[in-house]
Amino acid sequence: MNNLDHRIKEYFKAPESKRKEEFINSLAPSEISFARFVISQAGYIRKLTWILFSLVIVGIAAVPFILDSSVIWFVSGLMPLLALLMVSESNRSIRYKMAEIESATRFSLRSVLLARMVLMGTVNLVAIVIAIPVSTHFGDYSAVASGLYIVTPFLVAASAGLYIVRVMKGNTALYSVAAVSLFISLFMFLSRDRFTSIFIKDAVKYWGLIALLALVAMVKQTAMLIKNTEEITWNW
Amino acid sequence: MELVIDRLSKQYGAKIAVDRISVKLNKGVYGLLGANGAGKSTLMRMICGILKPTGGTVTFDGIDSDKEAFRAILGYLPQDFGYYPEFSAKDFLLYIAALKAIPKKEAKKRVAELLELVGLSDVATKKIKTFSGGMKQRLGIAQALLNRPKLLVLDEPTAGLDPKERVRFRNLLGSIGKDCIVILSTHIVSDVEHLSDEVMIMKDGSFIFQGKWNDSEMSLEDFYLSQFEEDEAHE
Repeated sequence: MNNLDHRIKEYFKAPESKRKEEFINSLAPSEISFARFVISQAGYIRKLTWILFSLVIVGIAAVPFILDSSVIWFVSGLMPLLALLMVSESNRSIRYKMAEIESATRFSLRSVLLARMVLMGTVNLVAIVIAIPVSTHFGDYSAVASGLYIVTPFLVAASAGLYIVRVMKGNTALYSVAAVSLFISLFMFLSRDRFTSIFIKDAVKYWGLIALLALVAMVKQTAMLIKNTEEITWNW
Repeated sequence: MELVIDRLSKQYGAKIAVDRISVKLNKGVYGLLGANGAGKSTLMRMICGILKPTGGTVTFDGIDSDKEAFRAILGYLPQDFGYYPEFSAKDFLLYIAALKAIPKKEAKKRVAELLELVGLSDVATKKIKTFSGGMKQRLGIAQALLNRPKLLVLDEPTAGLDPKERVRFRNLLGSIGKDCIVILSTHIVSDVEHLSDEVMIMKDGSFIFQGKWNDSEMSLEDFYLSQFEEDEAHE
């Protein structure tokens, strides 16, 4: 039967379609949901971002076997790098002049930004959830203190970075974000020996306050970035 | 099918970029002609809903330009656009198709169709950074057509195209214009003469002419150039 079908197709060509576009335009367009859109955006996060993120996770998991009690400082020093990756991804549309085309699509630039922030926020949360128990287990601090020493550098770097990409343009913004993240990373790496007073038990509440303020700032900057895509794109 | 622009304005401080433009457009190709700085791109962006107007409205069959439903029927080619450096032509179109909410299976077929239409099938898997200016422009036109738009807004679409590509583009636009509203902006008079059914000439944010141009008294080019002479006289 297959052979017969093939022979029939060979000898009897289907007629050319007439008014194809008219027919297609009369059909209701098929669409994808916002959830599927967000998932599809994962494929458009740069491979380098995924590789660097994976290296950070490996670093967090491997550091207890390499360092002694310095685990928490190494891990907290890595957190601003995750913030840098997140901010860098959020800024790509502007940096590569894709914002105007993206703005005119159904999901628009706002949805693209939101999708990237959701994806990067989720993977960063995974990293933090891994980092806290590792640091607590191999360190000298309580779970709360360890959590704050890890989360605070991330939140400070992220909120500062998101502010920078909102007010500065082009590669200057990215270099500035990188400089801020590197500064915070180095501070955490070096603070163990140089600034021991900020890690005493009584200082934990101040870390909590800074973390809370940085979280509020990060959420606010994210909301402003998404809301003000028009200003970001045109008002340079 | 009707696009209604009602007293549309855009002001930046003391500068009025677009000054109370009102027009109703039905199916066909409309040429928006004007010098650099006349306000064409600002008007195009407001029509597309990607720039908030200071005043006025834009609606397509009653749908406001800031709604998702409006963007669903819109195809837009900006005057200047970039691309993510890792993208090939096919990757770029598939990415834009995802943003236009076209399911992947359908998007693959549509992308293949459009690459064929704009003559980029042979270089579909090549990185965009290796493309010439004309090839990038053709790719830009292809992305605007992905969702079979009912409103197609093209800002300087023939920039960077060689004469053969311009003829090809004119033929393409001729067929598209039968089923949708096409607005193309340019400062090249011959593009408007060959491509559009009606002309809108813009100067200092306002329309100084709108409708079918009648060549019997003065050619469109002469009228357009006379506007520059007026400006020079005032200076």
